[in-house]
Formats: sequence, structure tokens, C-alpha cells
Amino acid sequence: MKQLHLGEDIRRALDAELSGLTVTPSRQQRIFEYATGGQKMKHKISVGLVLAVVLALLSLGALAAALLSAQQVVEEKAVPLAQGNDSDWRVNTKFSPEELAEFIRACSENGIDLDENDQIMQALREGEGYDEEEAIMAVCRQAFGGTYGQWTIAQRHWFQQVMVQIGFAQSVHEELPGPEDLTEEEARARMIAAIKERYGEDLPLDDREAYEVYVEYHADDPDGAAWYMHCSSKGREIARGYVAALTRAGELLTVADITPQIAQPQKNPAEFTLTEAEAIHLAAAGIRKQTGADAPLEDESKYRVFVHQRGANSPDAELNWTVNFISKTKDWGFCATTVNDATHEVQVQQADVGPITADTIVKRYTAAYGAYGEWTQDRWVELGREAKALEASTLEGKVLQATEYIPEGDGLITRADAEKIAFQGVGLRNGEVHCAVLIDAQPHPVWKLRLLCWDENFPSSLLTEIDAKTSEMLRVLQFASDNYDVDPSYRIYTLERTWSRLTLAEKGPVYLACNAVVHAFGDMTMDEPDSTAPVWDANLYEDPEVDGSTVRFRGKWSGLSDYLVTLDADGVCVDVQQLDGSGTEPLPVDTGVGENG
Amino acid sequence: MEHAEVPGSVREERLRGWIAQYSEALLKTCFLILSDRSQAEDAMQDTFLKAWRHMAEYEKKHVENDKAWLLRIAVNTCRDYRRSAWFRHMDFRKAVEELPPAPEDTQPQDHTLALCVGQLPDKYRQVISLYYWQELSIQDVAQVLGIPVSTAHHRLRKGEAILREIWLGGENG
Repeated sequence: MKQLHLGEDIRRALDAELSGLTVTPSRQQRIFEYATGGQKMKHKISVGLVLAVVLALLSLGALAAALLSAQQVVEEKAVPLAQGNDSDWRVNTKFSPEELAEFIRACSENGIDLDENDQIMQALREGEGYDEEEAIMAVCRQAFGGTYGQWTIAQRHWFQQVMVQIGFAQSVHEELPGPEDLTEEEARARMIAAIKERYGEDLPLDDREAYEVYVEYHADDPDGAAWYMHCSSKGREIARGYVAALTRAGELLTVADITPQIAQPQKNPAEFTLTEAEAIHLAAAGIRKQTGADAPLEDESKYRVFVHQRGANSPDAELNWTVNFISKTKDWGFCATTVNDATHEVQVQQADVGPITADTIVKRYTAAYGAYGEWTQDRWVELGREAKALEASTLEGKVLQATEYIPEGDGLITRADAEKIAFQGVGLRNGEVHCAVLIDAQPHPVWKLRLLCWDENFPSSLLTEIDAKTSEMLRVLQFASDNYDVDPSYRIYTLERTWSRLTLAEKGPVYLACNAVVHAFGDMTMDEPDSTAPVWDANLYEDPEVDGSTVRFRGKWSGLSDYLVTLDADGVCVDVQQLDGSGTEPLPVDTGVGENG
Repeated sequence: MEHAEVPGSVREERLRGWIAQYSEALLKTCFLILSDRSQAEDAMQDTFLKAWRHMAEYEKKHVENDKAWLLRIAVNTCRDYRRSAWFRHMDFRKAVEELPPAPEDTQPQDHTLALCVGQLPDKYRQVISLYYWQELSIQDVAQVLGIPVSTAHHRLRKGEAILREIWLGGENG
């Protein structure tokens, strides 16, 4: 079995893997020059610059008609549609298929035609809904051109205002220059002219296909750089980059070439000797050889393949292929490989090609039917039945086998009702339902929902349980958001009591008691509330005292509270108290963690 | 005028020394956070720009650990990059597969372990790399990341546990 000696192995691995990231002496010199800013330059506006400014203003004027049209369509059609599908208890962030169709029709009537290959058009053709923000973004990209970063400050500011209007955001971050300031066009033209004057008049910074040019404005920048420009080249050649900054008065503060220095010429990707098809075939053969399983990896009806070439940007690099097989059915699972282009050696990182088990069934169903948050209740019923007939060796598998998913039925509230109760119960409007499942329970079935609520100050994830017969809100567990993690994920689609009971059997009461303390007393505004109630940390807390159904945590140091947790027979917390701390000595500066594994 | 010039040249020498000694470490750390070489290059440069601008503050605080001080600036710079709407809407590569190529004699298990580190959630990846790879103390790690020491402890423990899971799980793949 592999060992992992954390410090030594990690250092060696990262040093080796990132050894291609170097900084040559000449590059170091450029960094020094960039950091120290060179000489401050003062320019009188030249005749050429005036001409450039005038041309820029003229071209913007020509675009103005199209821009206004797109903005009018968004303001007069998309915003009312988006606001109209909100309820008093929830901001709905998705257009229905009908709303999407109405919005796209309004765009078309105003001469804004979206690319037929765009995802939004695909959603329209398939009669699906679409995220409101994404729909508005698609239209604006089409109308304004380029990416969001290539838009003008005014366009980005307007877009953010729209996002606030539809409830997607709470505030606007983009700053607009004031009437006393340069216009963006003037600032942009000055900075482009300064970069060209220093680094070459033929630099195609005005060509949107050649360069991405981003400009922002901050009235109170601490370094006085009110205007900032960042230019980066597009395409597969050696990347080039330039920055410039102006004061509010338009004086040039800095202009610099930030092009990374590549020490050696790049290899041409055409130097790969294998074709994509050959790489896929080798990968598939490697998986079969290693696992002995006859997975249909090259059957397009069963798998789709992700292929990526690596190593083309250095002449000394080995050329490799990343070949991942993403299953389309539940009969097979995900596989990941690397294929060496020269030696044809195959390294298999993952190969889930064994028989389906209760431990892997959710992943397999996800491959076949999409994210579990999108499943119907019937799908959960099907999964539950199948899981019970399979082997389970992990806690996840056992939890699934112990959970009874039932069809929606008479006498029980609907999913839509449960969603409304959940949102009203937690009192947060901005969010979505990530997952909702109906589970058999005593005395009544329970709707278990996971809500994702976004608030700029406190985004969070909440697990709720609602009595499906009486509509009573039984439980709310809040998880501070860090990419909306819930640990473990299968807690989302089972009853809290089921999870507790099986976890108690497997991990013991201390684990559950720690969990209870964190949920009761951890700072839920932090992405790690357990770091604010660290009863699990042996450097800070004594070994827990377990007495029947109670667990007591005593802090070792002054300033740390003690906690007393009482669990019922299933491990569910019935009481948790915060007590005066037992410790008398102050916490030492270094509590000496970091034992290597 | 001579007196005013002396601090400048001392500072310049200090900056040169930092660039020579730490630029690669900063570049690699920025890459681990941003998962993009171009962005990491930009962030690394901006780190030295900010370090230059805050040199007076550095002197006033009598900073003991230059590397930790620079890493703190680098981490905050990377955070700013990730927060900006510009960053969010750019279409750029993020996968660890985009790492620059390793030399020919890299052991396969090192490559795999590096990928495992790259798979860690950001907050654990940062602590693991600062503690084990940049060899900072846990107090310095906390300071660099702007978090309480107890949070740094927690992330280190949890990151270690997840890394072991990923690493050992790969053996069965």
C-alpha cells in the first residue's frame, strides 16, 4: 500500500511538477523595471493622439444605435420577465421556456440575432428554460461584442445594474468616471497611444480579435491610478501583455510590458505523433488491461471522451494526452488516463468499471441521468429500490440502503409546496433549490430539501426537513458556504436521523457531538465554522469525556469554552450547552501541529 | 540629495534580492492558487510592484520573514484576481493538466501526487502548499492567508486527510 510522507513527498512532487515555471535573469530584470515603474512620463497630447481619440469616439457613435437597442430590449423585456417570475418569498433566477422564447423573440425583432450554436438557442430549440443572467449575458455579448472584460465601463456598470434589478446581485461594483473626469474613450485612447508609443506603433491593440483590452476606473485608488488598462494578446502564439495607468487628470502614471518571457521556443502541437483516435484507443486498452473489465469505452452510445494534449509549450517536454471517459449510462463509471505520445505508456488515474454498488450508484445515476439535484422523485424511488439489492461497504452506500424514497402522493404536500415552505421558513429570498427528495419516515413522510442561498454578505447552504403531511418545518441545518459544501454530500438526500444513526455506529458519538457543537456555536458566517468551535482539535481540547449519551469537551487553555452535548439513541443531538472553560493557562503561540503522515 | 538617494538604492537592492530569491516560489504559489500560467505571471509581477510600493511599511514593521510577507501580498493579489468580474467571465483554462511540463526524470508518482494536490479545494491546497512546500510555520501560514491560527490548523488537518484519501484512492483506480 502506498505511503504518503506529507512534507517530503509534497515538496518533491510540486518541485518536479512545477519546475517548468521559471523566471530567467532577463525576466527578473523586467519585473524589477515593472515594479519600480521606470520614469514618470508627462505627455502633451499630440496631434496623433487627438486624431485617435476622435476616431474612437466616432466608432463608438456608430455602435451606439445597436447598443441602445440591446439595452432597451433587456430593460423593457428581460427585466420585467425576470421580475415577474419572482414570488414574494423567492427570487427566481431562471426563465421558463416561454419566457426565454419571448425574450429571444424580442431580441430578434430588434435586430439582435443570436448565434444558432449558442447554448441559449439550443435551450430554446429543446423547449428548456435558461438562467436569466446567462440569457441577458448572451444577448449583451452579441450586441456589445467580445467578452465581458472587453466591454466599456459604462456597459459593465449598466449590466451590473440590471443584475441588481433582477435580484441576481445586491450591488453594483463598477465605478463610473464623473463629469470632471476624462471620458473612458479619452482615457482608453491615451493609454493605448502610450503603449504603442513605447512598444510599437503597429501593435494591434484596437483589434478585438488580436487583443483583449480591459479598462477600469477607481476614483480613490490609493496609488492614484484612477484609470487602469490591461491588454493581453489572444491566440496560441507567445502571449503578450501590456498595462498602463493614468491619474484622474489623465497624466500617465505607468506603462509596462508584462509579457512573460518564454526561455525557449514553443513546440508545434502538430509534433504529436499519435492522432486523437489512436490516443483514445491506447487509453481504452490500458484501462481494460489494468482492470480486466471489458468496458465499452469506445462505444459512443455508452461513453463520451474528453481529450486534451499536454506539453506542447516547451521543446524539452514530454508530450502527453489526457483521455477521460465520461459514462453515459449507469452500467459503467468514469475513467481517467494519461497517454505518453512517444512511448504509448498509459497511466490510469481512475477506472470505475466494476459492477455498480450502493456505494457508487449515485455517481452512476449522475452519469446516466444528470446531476442528482435535477432528478424527479420517480428517479429517486428507482435508485432507492436498486440500491437495496446491491452491496454496500461505505457509509454512503449504507445510508442509501437505509433511506426509503417514496412516490409523491395523495394527502402529501407537493414539492412546490415544500419549496415555498422551506424558503419562507429560512427567511431568505435569493436562492435556489439544489435538491428535493421525499423520504418515508415516522410519523409522516418528510421532504428533505437543500437550499442554496446567496447573499453577498453571507452565502449559505441549508438542509431543511418538512413534514409532508402537516407542512411543519421540522429541522433547519445551516452550512456556511464554501462553494456550498455539505460534508458529507449524502447527508443531502437522507434524513438527518438516518445519517446520525449510521454515523454513530461507524464513527461513534464524539464525531456527532463535534458536529453538534459546530452547528450550535460555530461562526456560520465563516466558511469554516468548525475552526471557531474547534472541539475536535487535540491541541486545544482534552480527550472528550463520553458518559452514556453525553459527551463533554474541556478546553485546555483559558479563553476556550467547554461544551456538553446530549445525543439520543440515534445520535441526534437533543441538547448542547456552552459552559465556562476549564482551562487556566493562556494558549501557547505555537501548538506544534503538522505531524507527517 | 545624497541622503535621499541612499534609501532608494538600498530598497532597490532589496527588491532585486527578493526577485532573485523568491520570484519562482511566488510564481509557483500563484499558479497553485490561480491554475493559470498567464494569470500567475501577472500576479507574481503585481506582487513585486506592491512590495515596492509598500517598502516603507515593510521597514516600519521590521518584518522578520521576508518570504512570508511577500507570500501574503501574493495570496491577496491572487484573491483580487479571482474576485474581479473580469476574471470571472474570462474563458481560460483551469485544469491542473495545463501545468508547464516537468523535466523528463519526473517520477510518475510525483506527477500523480502533484495532481492530487491540485485537486484539493482551494483553501486546503493553499495551506498544504504554504506549510509543506514553502515550509512556513503554521503562524506564518495563518498570517499569509489572513486567517486565525486555529483555522490554519483545521485546514491543514483536513487538507492532509483529503489528500490521503485522494492519494490512496488512486491506488484502486
